[in-house]
Amino acid sequence: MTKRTMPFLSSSVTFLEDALEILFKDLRLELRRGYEIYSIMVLALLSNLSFGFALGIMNPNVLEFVPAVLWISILFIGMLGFTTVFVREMDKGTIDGLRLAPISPQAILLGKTIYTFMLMCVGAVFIIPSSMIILNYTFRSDYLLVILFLGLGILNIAVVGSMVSALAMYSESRALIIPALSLPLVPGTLVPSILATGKLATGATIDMILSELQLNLAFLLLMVAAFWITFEYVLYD
Amino acid sequence: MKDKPILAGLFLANLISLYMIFIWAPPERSLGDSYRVFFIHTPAAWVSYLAFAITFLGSILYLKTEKPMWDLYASSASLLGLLFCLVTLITGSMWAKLAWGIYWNWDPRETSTLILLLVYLAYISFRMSISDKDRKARTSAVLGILAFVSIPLSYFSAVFWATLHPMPLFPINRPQLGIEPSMLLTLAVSMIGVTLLFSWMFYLTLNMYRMTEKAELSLLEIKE
Repeated sequence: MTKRTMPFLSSSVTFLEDALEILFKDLRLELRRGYEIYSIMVLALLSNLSFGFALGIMNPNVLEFVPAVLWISILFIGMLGFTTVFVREMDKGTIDGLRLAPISPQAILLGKTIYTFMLMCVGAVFIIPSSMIILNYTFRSDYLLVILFLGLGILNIAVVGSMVSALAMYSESRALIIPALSLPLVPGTLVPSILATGKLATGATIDMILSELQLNLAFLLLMVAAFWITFEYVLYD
Repeated sequence: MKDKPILAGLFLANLISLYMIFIWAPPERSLGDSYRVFFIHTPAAWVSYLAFAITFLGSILYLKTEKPMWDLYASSASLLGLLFCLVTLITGSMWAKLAWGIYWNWDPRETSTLILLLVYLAYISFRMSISDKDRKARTSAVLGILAFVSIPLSYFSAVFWATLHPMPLFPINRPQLGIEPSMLLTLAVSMIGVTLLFSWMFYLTLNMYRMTEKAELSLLEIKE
């Protein structure tokens, strides 16, 4: 197993450039194919329609269900993306190219995480406005706060998803192991995100969601630290 | 047999613990005898955390040294941790039925313990889905570290969110539930008994895995 400690050798600028290079490579591939973004759009609309039918379009208690509905849809869309992060590299044999590239493993992980985050944001851009129309609700809090909080929650799921995808590429039952690993690992961010989204829909200020915000930030720090340290053991054989 | 004194000590400790739980400890004023389930529930929860901590340490040491022994420790402890986590959930649900009228009430503490169980179930299913031994050990070690991150979440969920569950002993920042000295002593003895039981089961599981490995190697040699 080749172990690399590039972040300590390369400058932070090179490190970011490497991460962006990985991100642009994945984005170029994604834009060339396009069917994943298309699938995400379709899934976003379908999930909102399904929940709309299940809950009743004019349900007066819709705000009780909306936060959970929203985050479950975002999570499932994320899972579509997780399979494309590392598993696809393994399936196509391009993982060896990544391993041999003179790039630190952490830069690869960062690039892949930003890519997952962007893919999930595309999904969220379709899910949130369409659910506001279909389920007939609106966020009464400051929109900047809503966007920042939702972004943090999505980033947390993207971080976990990238690592799960990296672990799952060695598994013989990848399709099953991705949800089996990600679902129990995300409640640490999913539960506070659902609780705070409910509050944001009823007009909460930043003080009212402070404990959820702290939990989400703590989750992000813990996960990033754990992934940062262990990722090279996952990438290199 | 050199194990005999250890086994005798283990048997004695658990016998004393059972006597104290069911006969010696007085009934609780408001809960009656139903509270006795805590003398099994709390030690089981402690032992499951201990087992998951061993998995965590075993995982770190495996990544550091690449010695298969640490992977063996991590996987054996995770199996036993799962078992004791299940006991914690079952005994907790039994008491919830008596005290609150339902087995499952989505209490944050209850839910986060269930999530903990699911995390380690996923850890074991992940191990089972990789056939290459070195890859399995290395990637499982990474997962063993990640899974442990969910334990503080489980523990502190009772502090962060409104919960029906009694407050944990640490951090002590809220009034604790009053507990009689005889009950505290019973809990301490029960903790020791269950921890010894776990140690014995851990030793047996390690031996079982070692023997399975030897048998597999012998089988390979015969085939060749």
